[in-house]
Amino acid sequence: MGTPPRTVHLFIPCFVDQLYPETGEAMVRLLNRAGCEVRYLREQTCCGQPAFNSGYWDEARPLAERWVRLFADAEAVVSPSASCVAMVRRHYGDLGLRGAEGDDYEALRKRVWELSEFLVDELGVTDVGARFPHRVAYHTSCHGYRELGILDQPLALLREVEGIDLVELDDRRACCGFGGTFAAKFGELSAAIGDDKLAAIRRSGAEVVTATDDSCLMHIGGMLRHRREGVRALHYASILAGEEGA
Amino acid sequence: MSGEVIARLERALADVDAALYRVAQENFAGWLTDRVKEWSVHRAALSRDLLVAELGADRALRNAGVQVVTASHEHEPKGAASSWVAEAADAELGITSALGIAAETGTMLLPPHEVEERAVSLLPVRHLCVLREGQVVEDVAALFRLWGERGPVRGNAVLVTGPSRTADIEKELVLGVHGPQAVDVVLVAPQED
Amino acid sequence: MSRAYPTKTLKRAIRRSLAARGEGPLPWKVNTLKALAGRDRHAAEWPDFERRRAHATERRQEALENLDALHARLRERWAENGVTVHEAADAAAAREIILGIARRAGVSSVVKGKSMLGEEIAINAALEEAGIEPVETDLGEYIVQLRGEPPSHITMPGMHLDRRDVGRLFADELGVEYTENPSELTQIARRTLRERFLAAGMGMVGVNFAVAETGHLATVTNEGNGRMVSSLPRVVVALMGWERVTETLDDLALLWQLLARSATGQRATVYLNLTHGPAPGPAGPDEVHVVVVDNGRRRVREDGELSEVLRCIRCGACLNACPVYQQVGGHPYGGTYPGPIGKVVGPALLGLEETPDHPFASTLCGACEEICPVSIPLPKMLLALRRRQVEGRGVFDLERTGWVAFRHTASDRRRWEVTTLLGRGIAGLWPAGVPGWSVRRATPSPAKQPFRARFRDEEAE
Repeated sequence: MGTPPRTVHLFIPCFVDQLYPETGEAMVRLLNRAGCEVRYLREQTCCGQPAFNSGYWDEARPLAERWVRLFADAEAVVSPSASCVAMVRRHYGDLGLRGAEGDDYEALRKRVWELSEFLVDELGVTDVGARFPHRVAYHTSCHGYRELGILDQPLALLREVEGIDLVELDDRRACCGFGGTFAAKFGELSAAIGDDKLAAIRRSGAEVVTATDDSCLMHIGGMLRHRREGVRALHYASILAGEEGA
Repeated sequence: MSGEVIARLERALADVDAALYRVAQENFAGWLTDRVKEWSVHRAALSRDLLVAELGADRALRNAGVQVVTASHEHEPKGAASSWVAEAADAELGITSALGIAAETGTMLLPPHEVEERAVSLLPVRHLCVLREGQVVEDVAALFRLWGERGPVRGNAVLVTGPSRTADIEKELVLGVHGPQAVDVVLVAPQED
Repeated sequence: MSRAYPTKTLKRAIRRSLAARGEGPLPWKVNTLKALAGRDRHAAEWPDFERRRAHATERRQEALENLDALHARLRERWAENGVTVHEAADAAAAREIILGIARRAGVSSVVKGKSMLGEEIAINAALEEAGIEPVETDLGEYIVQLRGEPPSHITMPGMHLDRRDVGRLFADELGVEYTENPSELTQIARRTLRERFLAAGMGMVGVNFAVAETGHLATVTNEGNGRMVSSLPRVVVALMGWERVTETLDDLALLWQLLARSATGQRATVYLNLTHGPAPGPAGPDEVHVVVVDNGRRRVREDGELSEVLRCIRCGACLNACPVYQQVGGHPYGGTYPGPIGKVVGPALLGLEETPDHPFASTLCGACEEICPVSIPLPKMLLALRRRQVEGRGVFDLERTGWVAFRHTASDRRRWEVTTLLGRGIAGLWPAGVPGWSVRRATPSPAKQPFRARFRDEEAE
């Protein structure tokens, strides 16, 4: 390919760390395959998004400043979660980071990417040599699509997968209903919105639903499992890395 | 006026359930006579637009046995209680001209009149608007510019795009709520010399 | 704002709405999807849709920043045109002014065009108390008025009802023979309301935009009731929000078409009425009054985080696109403005104490901002409102304590690893183990080994 190897720092969201580590592992395999050297800073904990979304900006700010300090010297920071990347790129500015972190942030935010953005836009890679002979429905995670404009990149990567039958859902890229703490605070409403998403998945005839965010997939997958619908929710990194996750 | 623009206008009007007719000036009286039979018109209200007069609408209607009412200052008292408004409300057909019509949307600009004639295009069941082909413009912005070209932009005006409609009941389309149920636009071709 | 449905209990009202569902299709789901399909179709007709949208956004924002200068020009035009101007600082003042006009005119009924602002200032109740009958003339508004309930959508007020509801209503209230045919029902309304139009001494319209360069008051309808109300009665009152000014007719052309395309999927609404002033001649008003209402708008304009909400052109597209609105419709929101715009305007005008749930009843999906013809950043405003909402919470508040603990834990790697190991989740606010989550959702099990333990590589210096 001729793309120079880059050193990539992994930004593994708290819930991926705890609940979906296989997504992180898949990402590592993909980055290695693309010729990148990968680093993981075990000091990372949480980017602060849950506190921020709940209105507790004073609690989120120190976490954001810590995050910036941690990654300040990174050449590239890549994450398998579009919503966390959106938090860093779009909302750390709203928090108003103080001191040196405030200065470092302006430069750092240009070096933070969601995985598909990094592979496609930065490295120019779309074919990762994957094989996945299934019908896969792509759910457009809201933060990635509407805050970061991520749509073509994951689709470009998935289209190259050997044997894949890729479909977009027919629901105008509707929200799945997760919404962070919304899922607990407005549980029935969150599930009602999820019902419509499941109906769209059913209409697509897909065996697998994928997205850029394990948070969406946790919610969609949870509802699918509860209904025993037999459709699996799988992060696209796992599809691309060639291993079928839970 | 380019055929393409007029075709666009026709489509735009069809999309809002309005019809477009192209009638030569010398044929207008006959055309109108056929229409009032088709539409079972007994009474028609006319605006005092020059073009309406030039086309001889008044005579054609009377010859067809239609009762004609035209607004004038003489009707008193003012307002909704005016007998002129009551007469217009009873008419099956109202005929006006317009300042212009936009091809993109099918929108016509009905300018203010010294004698308030909004009732003619509003109250009867059908509204027939006559225009010369040269009065077709591209879009709504062009309509406003045309108005500005005629002088100071003042007075109570209305932009009309097709017949009155609602979808307030189960989103099912119904025409003719408070305003006309049918709108027809006649483009008068230039007179043969 | 209208207090018919209290705004304070949004969360409870949502739960009730979900519990009350029948088996059939939801009217708000069906109707919003139809409106969206129409909007997409007509937006696609403008290849440069995004450019026009950006231009409209810019013009609305400029107008907001120059509002005082634009109002000065409007006042000059209105004086020339013979329009009587009234300033209302708040809802109570607006009601007083309108009642004053009605009393001096000696009218017993007022025919009304659709006006959100009219709802906001609760003018109908005030008129009724004064012995003056307000008659809604927009078909959807007329229907909900007969039913004695508030509208459930900005541009489709009766969208929560079906034809049988309306048929029964007309049979009961108007004494007509039962029919559920929408065309027949509409004809019944047309006849009934036409009598009211022709008899009313006063008409009241909402103003979509006031045009500063000419002084025109623009009112938008599809039914023709706007024209009826503003041209037949002797006295006409135009009710206008302080921020609804645009500079030129050129602006109006764009905003009008964006409104039509975004709201109902039309290229243009059937009528765009431009009221200039009293009209000579047999028909047409003797008196034209405009009531300019503040009711908190000036304060919102000075609020750095919320002021952009004043760009709103009241198209209702955000309602149509909202996953929450699609599930529950407009009534649970209470107040005047439902949907995403209502979740910001409600707190902005009424205060968060009155609307505590509003900022949180959202997944922050951004569909509203995406479809808004004037690009209002609603999700960002909801986040700011959430912050304001929790700012008042004291040290002993359970939720605040939870987040303080979260911050403390996440600020140190060891604390984090121990807590997550022990807690098998994060700070008790994680979906796993929280009651709200397990509504029809399986709970994810924590991985045997978190990522951090599996990945063997260098650690931070």
